[in-house]
Amino acid sequence: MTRRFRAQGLRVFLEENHELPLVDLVIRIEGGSLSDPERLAGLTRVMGRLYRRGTRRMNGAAVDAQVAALGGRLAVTIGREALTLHGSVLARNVEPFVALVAELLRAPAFRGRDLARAKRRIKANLAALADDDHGLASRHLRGLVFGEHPYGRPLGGTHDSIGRITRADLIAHHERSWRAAHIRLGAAGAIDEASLRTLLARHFADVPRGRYVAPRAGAPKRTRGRRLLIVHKPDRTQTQLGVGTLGIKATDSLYFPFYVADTAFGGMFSARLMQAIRAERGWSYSAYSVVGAARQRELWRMWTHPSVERARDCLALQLELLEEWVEGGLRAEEVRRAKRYLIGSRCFDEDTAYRRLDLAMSVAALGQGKAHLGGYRKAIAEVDRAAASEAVRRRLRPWDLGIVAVGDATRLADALGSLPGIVQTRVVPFDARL
Amino acid sequence: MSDALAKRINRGTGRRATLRFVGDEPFGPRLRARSWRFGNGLRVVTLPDPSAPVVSYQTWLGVGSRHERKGKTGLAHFFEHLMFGGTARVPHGEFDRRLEEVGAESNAATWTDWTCFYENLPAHELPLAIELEADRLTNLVLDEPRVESEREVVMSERRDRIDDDVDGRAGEALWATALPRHPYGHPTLGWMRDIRRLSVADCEAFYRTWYVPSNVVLAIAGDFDEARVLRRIRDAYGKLRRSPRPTAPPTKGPGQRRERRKVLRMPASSQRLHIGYRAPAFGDPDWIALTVLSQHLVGGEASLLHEDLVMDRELARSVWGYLPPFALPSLYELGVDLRPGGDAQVALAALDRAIAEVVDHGVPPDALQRAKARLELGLISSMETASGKADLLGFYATLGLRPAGIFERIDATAAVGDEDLRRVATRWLDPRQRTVVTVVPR
Repeated sequence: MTRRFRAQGLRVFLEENHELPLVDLVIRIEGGSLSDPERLAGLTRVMGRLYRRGTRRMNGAAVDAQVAALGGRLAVTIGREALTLHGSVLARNVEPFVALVAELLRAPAFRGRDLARAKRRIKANLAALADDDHGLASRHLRGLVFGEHPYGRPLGGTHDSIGRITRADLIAHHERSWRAAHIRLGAAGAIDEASLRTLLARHFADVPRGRYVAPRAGAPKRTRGRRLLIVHKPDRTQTQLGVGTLGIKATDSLYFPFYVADTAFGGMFSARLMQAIRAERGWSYSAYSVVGAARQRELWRMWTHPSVERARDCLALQLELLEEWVEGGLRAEEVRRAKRYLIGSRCFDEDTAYRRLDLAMSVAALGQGKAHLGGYRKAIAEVDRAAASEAVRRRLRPWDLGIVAVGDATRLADALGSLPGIVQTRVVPFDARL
Repeated sequence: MSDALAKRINRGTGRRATLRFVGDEPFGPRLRARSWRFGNGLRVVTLPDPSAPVVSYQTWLGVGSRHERKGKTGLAHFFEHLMFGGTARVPHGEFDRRLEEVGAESNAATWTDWTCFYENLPAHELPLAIELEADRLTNLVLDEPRVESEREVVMSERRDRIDDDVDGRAGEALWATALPRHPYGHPTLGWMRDIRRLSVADCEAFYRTWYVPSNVVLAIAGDFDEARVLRRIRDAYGKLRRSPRPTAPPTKGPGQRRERRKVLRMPASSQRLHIGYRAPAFGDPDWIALTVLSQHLVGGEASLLHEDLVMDRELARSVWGYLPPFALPSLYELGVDLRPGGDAQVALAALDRAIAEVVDHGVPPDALQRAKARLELGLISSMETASGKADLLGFYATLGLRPAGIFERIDATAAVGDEDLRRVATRWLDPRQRTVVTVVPR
């Protein structure tokens, strides 16, 4: 059971476990890319990078050296709704590690030369996306489904928005974000509550207490019709195919039935989508669907990567399967199997201290409540065929889709553009500046 | 106690099913790994660990892509896919269905020296994995429709991982150029022309030769009753016939006297550099010191080349290195992902300077300590889950090493000194014995 308490104004989560001499430390700061001003998309990402580049007392190279010397790892990830810093360290070095992490967040230097360097590195990584067909398709699919809504904004920004970020922007953004009221701090592994409280009192005592409400996105709007975007990339032997639409809010009352239904459709090897595309026809090594969890309706998507020759047939079949699923529902046997899978496999979300911590912190951050922790198995068990089918029917619109294909447009545009319901076909080059 | 347990289990069983206790050893401060062998040659390694109500059941076979013949590359991996088809008792599709219905995670992996099938299950569902794995070890149905359908899937996997992937193609070219007549020289996924031609007869012959009890290690870690599980294994596998343990034809060492270079022109956003140095086998004492050296050169943000090429000179997006844990001597692979406009030859010169620095002056004590601490964290982290522990047991046992060998490695890593790094840099990072593949954007 994850212990929760308040210390130094922070909401603290602790999953104590002494099986291995390791400690995980997670600091989640609400805000994420949603808190980026519109002109400065990527600001939170740049800030996350610069947290690693040193404090007033030590430069980035010294930070990297100290993390490694302690037997540590430190990663900063940016989500739409939070910036998360995750560190792991050998238990014998937990005290200096916590002290270091606290210093990075409390007194970041945001040096001008580090900012310039971070911006150049992010731009170089944006250019590298041209080599990653799946990454390209994902980025475009989100834009196609969400349009101007903040969920459609790329987490890392664009060449232009990154170029506009200044040191003053970073300092102001950090001062807004670094507030105890919207920080969750978690520790998992070989550390007890008394030790953690002592460390927090020593190193997190001066986190500003003032209130700051992190921005939240409004409800995204549905775009009508099936819109096809082909990312033209010649010489491809296969086509990355992403199909997406608005999914479901993490706090939606239909969340559990929807989740069961999606698992039955594309979340298992024995699911309908995988069976039809891979097991029966061998068209694509991967064939799955997945729904994101966020405070607003996140992306629901399905994914395959057939050969260029099979792309049309594969997409046509995926669309048919989607229509059948939404309009015709699921078979009782499919729902029963998905429920058993979800209930049985729950133990793998809870089998290590870090996983239990991660689950507890995510559920709290999404405002999902106890049904998603101790009540999870019961909530899944209570879903029946009618509820699962109804949840999908009410939340998914199979005729309002974004469809992205990365491949040779000269071979794909007509073949895919003539499929039922496509109201728009656009082609963009794979190496267009992002 | 373990001998007594074996005796109890053996009451009333035939010779093939007779269980012998081989030995036990500590697996960290709290657990013990025990090794067993049945009369038909089947080996079992058990690690009871009640820390979470889960169990990992893994079937390791001592066959991988290095055991394939010319013209039949990709067969080991292809066959791994076919193992998820049906048997006389479990119709096609039922294997996954039955496991998913109990919440199990099930998959497989094939590499050069081995193939591994695993099921991670809620602890009380372990008997199902034993039943299904024992069944498909001998009763698999191989027919034309299954082989044809799976051929398409494997070709799709190859296109995804290699043909349409810049680093996938560069890596494949590196190993093929460095080891042209060596069984590590071809990709585990196989050459596309060979995948197209693999037949049902090839698959049947492969199954009969390699999927035999004497070539299998079962590795089980998690929350289970050892006596009960060993009895179940005896009942499920004990009837299988003993056959000689298959062996691979002898392999000539990968000799090389001068540097080889290859340039690949393909659509890419920037140049890439893939370098392969001759490298020791996993069992060679130099393997550990070379791993520490790799950490010093390219492991993480505090490494020498990350600081130089990524941070200071901003020539590269990333640098990386990998020393594969292969049974035979192979390649130590280094890579540089350059930024647009970055020159691979400049990066190569930086690597040469870094290696010369180690050879001439050694590694500063603080840098050596950092490299070792990072490795220690990685080794301990690999034991967090039941499947991580079973991975270690099965891998070590399949390579003929002590199942708890990971702990010796942790100690040996801590003992590596500066003189070891200078020695392995001199011996293994010789530019005359390397292969360099450069990707140039087209």
